[in-house]
Amino acid sequence: MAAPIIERQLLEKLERLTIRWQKSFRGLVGGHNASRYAGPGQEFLDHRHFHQGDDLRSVNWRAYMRLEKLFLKMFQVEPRTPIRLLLDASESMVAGHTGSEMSKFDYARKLTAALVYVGLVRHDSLSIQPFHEHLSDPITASGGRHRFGPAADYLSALKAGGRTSFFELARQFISEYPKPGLLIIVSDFLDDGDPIRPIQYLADFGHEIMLLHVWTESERFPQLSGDVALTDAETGQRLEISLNDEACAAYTKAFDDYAASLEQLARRNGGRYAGLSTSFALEDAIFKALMSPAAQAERAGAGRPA
Amino acid sequence: MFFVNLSLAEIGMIFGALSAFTVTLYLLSRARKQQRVATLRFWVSSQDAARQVHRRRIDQPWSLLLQLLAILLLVLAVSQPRWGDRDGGARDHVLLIDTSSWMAARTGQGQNTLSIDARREALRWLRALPVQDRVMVVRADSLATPVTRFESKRDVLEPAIRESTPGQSALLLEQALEFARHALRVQARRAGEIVYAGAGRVVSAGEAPGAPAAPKGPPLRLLLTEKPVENVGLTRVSLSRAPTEANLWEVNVSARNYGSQFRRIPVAAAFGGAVMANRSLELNAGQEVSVTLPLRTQAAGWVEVRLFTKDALSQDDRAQLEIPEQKPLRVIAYSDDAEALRPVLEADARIETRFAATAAYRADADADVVILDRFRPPQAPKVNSIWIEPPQNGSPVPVSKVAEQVALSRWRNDNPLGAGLRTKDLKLGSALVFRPAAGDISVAETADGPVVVARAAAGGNQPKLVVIGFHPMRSNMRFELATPLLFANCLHWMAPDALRTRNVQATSVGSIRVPIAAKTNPDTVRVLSDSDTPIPFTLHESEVRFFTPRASTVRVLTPEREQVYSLTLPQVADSVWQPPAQALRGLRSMSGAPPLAKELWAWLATAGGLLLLIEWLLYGRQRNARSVPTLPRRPFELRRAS
Repeated sequence: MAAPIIERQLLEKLERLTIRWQKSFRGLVGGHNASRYAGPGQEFLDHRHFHQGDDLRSVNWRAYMRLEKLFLKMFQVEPRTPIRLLLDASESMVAGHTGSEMSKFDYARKLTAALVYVGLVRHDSLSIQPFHEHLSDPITASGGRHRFGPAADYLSALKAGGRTSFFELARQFISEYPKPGLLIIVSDFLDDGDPIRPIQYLADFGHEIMLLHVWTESERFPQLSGDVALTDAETGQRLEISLNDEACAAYTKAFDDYAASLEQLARRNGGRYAGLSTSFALEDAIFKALMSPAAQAERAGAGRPA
Repeated sequence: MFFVNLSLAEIGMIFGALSAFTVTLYLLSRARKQQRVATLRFWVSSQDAARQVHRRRIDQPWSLLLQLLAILLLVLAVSQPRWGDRDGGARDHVLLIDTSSWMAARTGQGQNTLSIDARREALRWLRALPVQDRVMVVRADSLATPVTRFESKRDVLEPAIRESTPGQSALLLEQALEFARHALRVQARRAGEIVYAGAGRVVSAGEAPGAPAAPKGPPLRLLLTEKPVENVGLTRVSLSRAPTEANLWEVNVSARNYGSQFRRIPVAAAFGGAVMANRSLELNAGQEVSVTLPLRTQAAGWVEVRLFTKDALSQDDRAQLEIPEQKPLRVIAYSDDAEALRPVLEADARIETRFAATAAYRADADADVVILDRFRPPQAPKVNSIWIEPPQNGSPVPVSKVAEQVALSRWRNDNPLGAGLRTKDLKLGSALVFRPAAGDISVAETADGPVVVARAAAGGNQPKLVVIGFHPMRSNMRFELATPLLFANCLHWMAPDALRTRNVQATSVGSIRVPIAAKTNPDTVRVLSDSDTPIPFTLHESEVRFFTPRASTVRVLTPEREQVYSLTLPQVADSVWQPPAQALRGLRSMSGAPPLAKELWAWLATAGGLLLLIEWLLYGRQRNARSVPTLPRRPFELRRAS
């Protein structure tokens, strides 16, 4: 029997969390994130003048009795916003890690599974969609925590392979999903082309993007020296190079610059970015790296261990 | 400067092998390694730095040079170089360990012996020597036997000293000293001392034992262990058959008092475990006395002679001799006139004669020799035979004529049968003159021809025979001394073993001198060990000389005698050697250790280790240094559920 993709102890801890987003989306009532759009919600939002054709059930009759003017009560909508998880399943996700390290693909699968579980606990509707050259068929998870099993099995059965193409991803995603929502991309963001522009397209289309950048320590700090012949795992291109510590430092700087550009992309579009090394424990990554400062302060105030 | 452990060639070979291995590893490490990576985009941006690195790598052979230099220093350290002269003032010494029999003497109530004391002193001297000095250990008794060559390894020398136990022979110190001088002269690189460890008891050998000779060549150091020792010991025991009685043996015992006090010591001879004779010996200091103990026995066996005393040296208080088996010579005389032959045949106790009538003749008679008196047997005897005046037609040697009133002109003294025979103007009334065949031995001759002829065994199977052409007891020869001698010669020629004189002696090992009959043919002399292997000997006038350093039984065989030497007594020295006045004594005044060659290996090993450390600090550590992982820069947005 294969080991579960996430341990039960971690799942119990994940039940306390909620996936939150910053943008307001139109959508069906039933979600848990407040929207700036008024609608048939439960929480009072504001008053406005009554116009003809408005629903008389929303008139504030107490204000009319005092002011003899018709004011209409507006309620805050908590829409059911779609959460889409794009999981990078390209060849680069399994390349470039040493024997003692967890591969990026395994780490990304576990991280995706954890997010799916958090969403299911809050009755969110999530779709998981692997991609490499193109988008693969999605699987939708919704309906509570007891529907986590099929999603976990799906993630466990995934195989990595192929090249990454964010242009193709953006083109296909925009054409298939016109309704904006929360878009979480779990990837190493290693593309031969420029992944910045396709992601920018997705943000421009109205999606709130969350970039989870996964890398291995050996990928960020390569243990290489001397004369090395490097082979790209996806394209098969070769590069013969002589390395020393200075060259490796230049490599690391280029890597960090690229990660910074991804972060800048996310922040510029109101989205979020997190860089995660596979050397971090998954629990630490979720409860330390992925939690907002406010949530961490709240946890500290509650006197609970971090 | 010199190397202790390795030669220059070995250093070169080891360094070459290690250098080749290191250079190979270096070149292999510089070979391009294949690596599969997730992307090349960041490597492309670092290519400029990489190219600069490549140019710098041209200078990286300094790392290799540092490694090679460190290896060279470590190999040199292993070879243990020393700064200075190889000899380093080292000297070569000869240590003479006294292993003579006297060293087995006890020096107290316990089991401590002079030998143990001498070995202890020798070990103390050895441990006080500078470590680079070489020593040759020589065991000195009657021979000087080198046990080791000039050797500086103490783990070789100390066992050689410990295993030097007393032997059986006495010390010939001058010979050992001469050997030591020769060894130092020929083999030593720088002659040191000759060291003697022992009691200094030597055999006088007719010379003044203590003639102090002026020391020649290397100095002599004495580690003397002499202590007052009281000892009385057997010096010689001999066993001989009494001439008057066949079963009586005479045991001659000689004992010496080596001590300084008068001693009265019982001595006893035992045969088969039973005391057969005893006496009491009274010995003044330094006196040697001899006594004869009678021993009557017919059987062969061991005779043990023992001094009943408790003294320092127990090895010389007991001697064992073997009485050999003495079979009589059985003779049957077929004669109808036995009384005529009886005087000559019954004179010797070793001859057992039986007389029978000629009618009772049997060819297969149970005897060693048959005498046929004037008759012709129907069948020739199957054993050795003496024919006396046989019939003309029945003689085994053809008769040419019968001579009357013939004078016996000559005895052939050139053969054993005629040895010692002599007559003057002997005229025989009647005698058969024989016509001998080729190979026959003429013993007595007349003018007409031989009258006594002997025929040896032809082909080895035929018995010997002697034909006498006249009757010695019925002719004028019966009054001559030559008559019994003629029969004795005939019987001795036919059965030499039976009539050989046997002497058994117990004496000490070493150089043995055995007197033999004058003019003995050297080819007939044999000296055999107890395993019947020949022992080298020399003939000097009427002495046989041989040497044996260990306890054994040696037989000296001549045609007439068999002398058995039971060399079971130790050869005990009888005098104290007087060393030269210039000789050094004890461990005092030992010259201090000369300055040792300076050891360099520790410095070389340290320098090699430092070079390796520097190389690692300059090159190795940076290769292995890696940054630690860092936390992500910005947190993700997860929040606790309200």
